[in-house]
Amino acid sequence: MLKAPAIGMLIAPVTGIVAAAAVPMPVAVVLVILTAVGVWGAMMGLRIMAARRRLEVKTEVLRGRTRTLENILAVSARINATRNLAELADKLATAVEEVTGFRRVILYLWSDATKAFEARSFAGITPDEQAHLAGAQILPSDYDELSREECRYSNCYFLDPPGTRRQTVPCVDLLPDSRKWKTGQRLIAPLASSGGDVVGYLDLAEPASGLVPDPAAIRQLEFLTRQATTAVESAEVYDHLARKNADLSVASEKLNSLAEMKKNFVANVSHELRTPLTSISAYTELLQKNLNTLAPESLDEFLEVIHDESVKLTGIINDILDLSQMENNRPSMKQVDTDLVALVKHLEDSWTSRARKMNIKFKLDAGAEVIQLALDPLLIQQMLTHLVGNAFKFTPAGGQVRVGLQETGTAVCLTVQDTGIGIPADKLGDIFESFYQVDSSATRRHNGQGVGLAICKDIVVHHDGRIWAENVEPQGARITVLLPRRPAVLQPADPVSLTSLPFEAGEFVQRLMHWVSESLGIQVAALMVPDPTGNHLTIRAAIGLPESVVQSARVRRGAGFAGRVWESGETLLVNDLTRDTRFRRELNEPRYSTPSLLCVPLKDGDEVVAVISVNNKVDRTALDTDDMVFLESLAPRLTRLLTRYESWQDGARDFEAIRDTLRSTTAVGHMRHESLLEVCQEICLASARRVMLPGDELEHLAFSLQFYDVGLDSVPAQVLSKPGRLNEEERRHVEKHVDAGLGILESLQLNAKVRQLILHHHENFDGSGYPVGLAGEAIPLGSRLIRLADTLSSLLNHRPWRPSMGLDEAMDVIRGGIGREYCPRMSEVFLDETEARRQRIVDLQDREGAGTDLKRLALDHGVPVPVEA
Amino acid sequence: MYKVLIADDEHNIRNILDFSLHAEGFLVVSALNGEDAFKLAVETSPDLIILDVMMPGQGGVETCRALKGDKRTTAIPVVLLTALAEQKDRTAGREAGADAYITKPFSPQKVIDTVLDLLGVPSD
Repeated sequence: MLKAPAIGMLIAPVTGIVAAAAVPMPVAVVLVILTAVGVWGAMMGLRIMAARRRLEVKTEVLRGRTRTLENILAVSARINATRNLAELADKLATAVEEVTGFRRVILYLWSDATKAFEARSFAGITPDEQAHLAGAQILPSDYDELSREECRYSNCYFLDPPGTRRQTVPCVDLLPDSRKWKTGQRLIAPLASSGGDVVGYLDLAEPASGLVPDPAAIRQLEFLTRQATTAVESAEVYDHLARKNADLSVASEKLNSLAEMKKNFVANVSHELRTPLTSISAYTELLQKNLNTLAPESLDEFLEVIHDESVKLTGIINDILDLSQMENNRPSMKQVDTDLVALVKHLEDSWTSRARKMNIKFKLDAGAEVIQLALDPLLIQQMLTHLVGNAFKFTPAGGQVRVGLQETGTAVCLTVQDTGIGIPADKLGDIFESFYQVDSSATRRHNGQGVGLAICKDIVVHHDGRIWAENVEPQGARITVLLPRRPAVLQPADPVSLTSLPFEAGEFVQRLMHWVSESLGIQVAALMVPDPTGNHLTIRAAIGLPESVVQSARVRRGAGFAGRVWESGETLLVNDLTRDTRFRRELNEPRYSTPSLLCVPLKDGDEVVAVISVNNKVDRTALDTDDMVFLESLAPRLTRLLTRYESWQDGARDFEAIRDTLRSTTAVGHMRHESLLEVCQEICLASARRVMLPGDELEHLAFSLQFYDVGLDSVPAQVLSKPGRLNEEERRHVEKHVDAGLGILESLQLNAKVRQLILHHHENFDGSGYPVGLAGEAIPLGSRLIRLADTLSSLLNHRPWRPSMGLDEAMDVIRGGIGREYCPRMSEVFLDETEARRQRIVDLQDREGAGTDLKRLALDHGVPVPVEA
Repeated sequence: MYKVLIADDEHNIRNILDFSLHAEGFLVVSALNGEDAFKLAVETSPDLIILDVMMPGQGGVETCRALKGDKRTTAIPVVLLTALAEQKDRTAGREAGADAYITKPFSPQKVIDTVLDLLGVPSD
């Protein structure tokens, strides 16, 4: 009688551990039973028999899953290496047959020429039937018939045999006996791109097993279709490029290295999977063979290993599937106000106990009591688990893992540092790429590393943050994550006039608002749209306004600032509300820290579709004509984005591109409203006015000045922050930022003038610059001015390879480069305008100190680096 | 009594090998990486060596090449253990002079059989 509770007590903690580790139930069951066996000798024989059978089954299942996954990965590598669409189609059908076990496979691909799906390749189909199928065109309406919602399971569709009276619910969840595949039944697996475009589909029938696939098999099939979709899309791009006779060598180099990386990925993942699997199967075999002779401690130890390795293996498999999910179908973020310190502390216990077990010191430095931030807590938690888990893996016993958390002005800086073997210098930039893994050269190995970091990067990018890795002295690696701290964008609970779309309207508008507020450097912004009656403006989204105002504000046409702008269709810039007689009576607003305001109409033709109103510059200066010119340069783009969004039909992929653009232009670290930079931009625009640049070109210049360097995002962080001189390869990396920037901005439909301005902002007057090598007057005038503004702001600020310069020194540098880097005529005007702002620049430099770094891993006061010797 | 040297950085794999070889009555010496394995091979003159291919620092293939190129150790049979299953990896192993190649996941019995075979011991 006494034994039962004793066993209960023993089982409880084990169950707890198992549950905490989120192990699949069968393992938990096996473990509980087997642990009890170790204690309860009398029942040993019987229970062990049962446990053994279960273990065998479990191992076999894991072995099977691993094998299938490896198979799929190998197939993926093969199809991804194929660029010719026809050849790819052939390979795909065969691959699907091979991996999924369907004996009849037909691959349909969308044809832009016929606006229909066409059967492109087959497996297990007779030549006669093929000829028949190949001629048929499946119109979008036919496809809709194949993909009816009631036939859907996950992202696939089960079709009953023709003539069946009623569609039965897909029965994948049932036991094998009830999952018999019916003759004539079909499974449709769409190849859908991340944007939701269906580029083709697989028509499958006659599974070799004779059974409807189970959920795991469906998941694997979908993994494969996602890979296939990517392959088809890249083949299409390649086809397209080939037709356009574009730079083939570049394209093929890119694709080749991609294929190479995918191959490494397969080898690495294979290794990651097989290592735990080896332990599981070998220990199981030893256990079975030596059951009668094993000491109870050994039995426990063996079981623990099997358990741990099962957890690990399950984790790796899930990581790989997660990653594919994230790469192909980015979820909308759910940002909520969260205390990051609390989130980290919540995880601290598990890290501390892990550290104790591994004889590693663990330390958490939370720089503040509370760090409130808008983020997706689940994703951030996933990221933290990966980063800290990695640090533990790389740290030998006796070492230390530290997690640091610090607020730094506009960003929150999270660091995870270990005292492990560090990261090879040439791999620092690559470890966040998903196909990549440091140990492909067999120099070091740790489970899941490559996949985990890729997931982390994805999460950070989703938060508009940055992540990079570096090695620290005397030993170890540090990963730094920067998350932006910025005001929340408030939106009404029931927004007017936005239809339901493949992407969440809220996130889109949120990004637009951040884009405006951060490029302009303002604290208060409101986007207002006419309500359905057409009599009032209501707030669609706002930054820096009280919730109650956002929810209920209504502005009559012609009334107030926004109402007037709506009525007149003209921009309104009020420099000083206290002196402007037109508006005196409206100035009882507590939310003006500066008495100036800028209100710009967003016009679609002659119709004002929205009004955007901003005030309160971060640097507390009044809004001026430069700000006006810039916001006006944004206005047509905002209009286009908003109206296009409202009538979104086919451009889901475009939307992804726009999202990426907005993300890149507002990613943490750009600090576009930083004061010194702003003065330099002001000097640039003033110079342009002095040389009589026409109004529309001034607008182009204002726009380009804000965004000319977004491409720096694509330069590896360790190159940007390298203290010494750059080598040849690193310089090439940096030079590519011009093209990369244009690529990022492309989705905003830049006009030719803006594109020229940005393209040539690194040309030298004597023709020695990049990317084209234009010289003299051939370089657009605006580009020559941007070059000067860029140089000045860079010289005035601290850089990793040199301290900041004083104004005189900086001006001397520019003088010294006249005729070489800089245009003589523009330099003269530019230096003159600089001189006119001497006192402001000197004051700003004094105030801001030398710690500001505009373009690099910019933080207001440098990255805090808590390293202990 | 035969002496077998094993090198693998994975704790669990070393334990499996150690356990299985002990059970067969072998003496086991173990190393965590290729460099140590080479040193131990020279110092202890084992009858057979089992090397994991993917180890930090010097991997199994390189270590095998070094062992086969050194006259003190060239005669010792080497078994490579790896998760890499591709043909070209096998070829690399063979070119480095390995006497046998076992892919993960492996059966401990298979390792024992291979070892006995290479040592010329009739298995029962």
